[in-house]
Amino acid sequence: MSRRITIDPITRLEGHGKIDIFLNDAGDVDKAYFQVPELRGFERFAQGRPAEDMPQITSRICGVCPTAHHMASSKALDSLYHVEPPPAARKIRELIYNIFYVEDHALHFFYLAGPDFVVGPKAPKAERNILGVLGKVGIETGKKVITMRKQLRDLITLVTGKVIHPVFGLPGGISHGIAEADRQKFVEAANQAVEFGKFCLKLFDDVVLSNPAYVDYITSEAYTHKTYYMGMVDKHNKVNFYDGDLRVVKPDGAELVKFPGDKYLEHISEHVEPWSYVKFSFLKDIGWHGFADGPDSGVFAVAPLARLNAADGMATPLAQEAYDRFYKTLGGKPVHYTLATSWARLIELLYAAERIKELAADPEITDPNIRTMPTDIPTEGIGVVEAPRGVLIHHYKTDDRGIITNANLIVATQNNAARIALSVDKAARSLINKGNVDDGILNMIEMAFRAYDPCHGCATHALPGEMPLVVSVYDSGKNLIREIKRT
Amino acid sequence: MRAKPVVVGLGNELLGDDAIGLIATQAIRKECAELADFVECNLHGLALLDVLTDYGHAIIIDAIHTGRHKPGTILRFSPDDLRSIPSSSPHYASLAEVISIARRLELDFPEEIVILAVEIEGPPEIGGQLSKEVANSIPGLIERSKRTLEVWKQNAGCIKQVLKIRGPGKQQRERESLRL
Repeated sequence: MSRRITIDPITRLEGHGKIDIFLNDAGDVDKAYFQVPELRGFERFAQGRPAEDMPQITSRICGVCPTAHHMASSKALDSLYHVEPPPAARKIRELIYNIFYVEDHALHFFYLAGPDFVVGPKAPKAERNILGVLGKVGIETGKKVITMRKQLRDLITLVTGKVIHPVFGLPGGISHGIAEADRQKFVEAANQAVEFGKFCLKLFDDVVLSNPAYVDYITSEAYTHKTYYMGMVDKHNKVNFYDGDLRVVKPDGAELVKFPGDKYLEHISEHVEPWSYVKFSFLKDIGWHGFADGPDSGVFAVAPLARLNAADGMATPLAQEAYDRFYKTLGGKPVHYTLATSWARLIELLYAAERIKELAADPEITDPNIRTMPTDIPTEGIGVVEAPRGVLIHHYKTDDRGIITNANLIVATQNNAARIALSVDKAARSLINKGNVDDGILNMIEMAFRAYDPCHGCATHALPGEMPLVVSVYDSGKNLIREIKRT
Repeated sequence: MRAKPVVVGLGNELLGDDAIGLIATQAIRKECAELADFVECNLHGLALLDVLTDYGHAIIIDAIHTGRHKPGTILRFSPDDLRSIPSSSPHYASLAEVISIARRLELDFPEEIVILAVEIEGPPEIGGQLSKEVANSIPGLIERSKRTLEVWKQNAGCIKQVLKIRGPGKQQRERESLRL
């Protein structure tokens, strides 16, 4: 008799994820599904509103990454009104965006990788959380993260008005520049952030890479998928979060295609499954051939690991050193190990810190010319950025008064959704056999998707509540035999 | 540590009844502007650290969907009533977890937090309006918040008096006894 296992969430609102695991008669995994529910209506909500409101509205979609939506939306407005922001505005946007990256990546490293690698994947459940991480790394490190995060958020506030609801991006530029008197604050914060990035990489070295058991987890077959990778690159094919072309590399690392973001519809399509509300992005050039990896499947990945794989390197020296070491240690490019994402995230953190330093030192950053006034009639605009969780696309069409007639958002978790589904299924198959499912095994299945740092809120256009996960295990008669609430 | 308490409204104004925390906070600000600082916040998880740090007392106003009360019912909780749910992502850190982290890191965090939650008929949809039942809870939220803020103000006055007589060394003990 087969069994079914479900991982399901308790939430304030119903923005939760759910893993259903179906076992066969032998107690092995027949199929595992990762599902998220949906709150419909965002596109409809946007219709009839002035396009200029979109940076504010979309930053309220989700309380997790308002800055990424705000930035993608501002870029979509540039494109909609056919205006190019002046150099200072462009650089300040990139500066603010990299500050956001440092604080977001730092937090997520300790939260996401910490419980699995610092505390340990099979540690008692009660310790496998941020409090357990603080217990291991020490209160001083925790304070360091909190202090730096506050300092960076204060800098964002200086320019954007508010971290919570940035009022900053305008078509053709920004609303507030940087005064010469404030420049030094950015330089100081950047210096500290660079040191912090180095510290985190050292911690990863000491705690994870020096432990052969952890390296075995990272490189194990259960967490490996040979898919395509997509990431934004600058003109030298180096990682960039704010601007550039989207580059896709094949599972063997060779470039498949490189295209400007406004051509996304020619390369990205969406697949619908009856069991999920998420539309699964796939590469049009290859086509949808089911949930499979390999060169014949259009499934691709975004986010830190994908960005590193899709680029030829990092644009700053320390991050480039870390990048080289990453590929040397893990056996060359591309790296297909999902759990290496946590390491990639730290390399990106260091890059973002170095990039803040470069931009803060740029003489042009304090130029008061920060706005190109739009004069054209708006038509259609597409804005693309790398959100911390991957490629984020905003696409608006308007009437000639700039009133939205059509809005389409392709968010990072949606781009990763097919690979996440693959990962959950593969980890479940690899780790569960003969009906043996304990808490440690379920945690290791969760690790398979946690590495992506999925944010179900905007993937389903829903507001996420508290954490979203319930695992249910069903037998071959579809009877629920075990349910674990990740609470 | 700031002298005034803080009133934090949580929610999302795009999501109908989920906006009650934000709308109620605006209304309370009008009535009690002198008694507290006010923050309207649609971030969640660990971002709450930023808004609560440095305050001694806090009121949090939010929507809740328990399915056990009529929509518009005001429920009062203390952080002890919340289960401490360790989450797997900072997106979803619960208030109880945020408090645990703040305590562990020895941050200046409110020693007293009152949570006023309004039952809503969830889950809300994007673009919805505040329902009549939930909107009707606003006067009650104002009254309860005002009462709590006034008690805190009175107690703070008492502490100052006591400190004048006995000196600052007994501050903590006095605070404790006054709370009891």
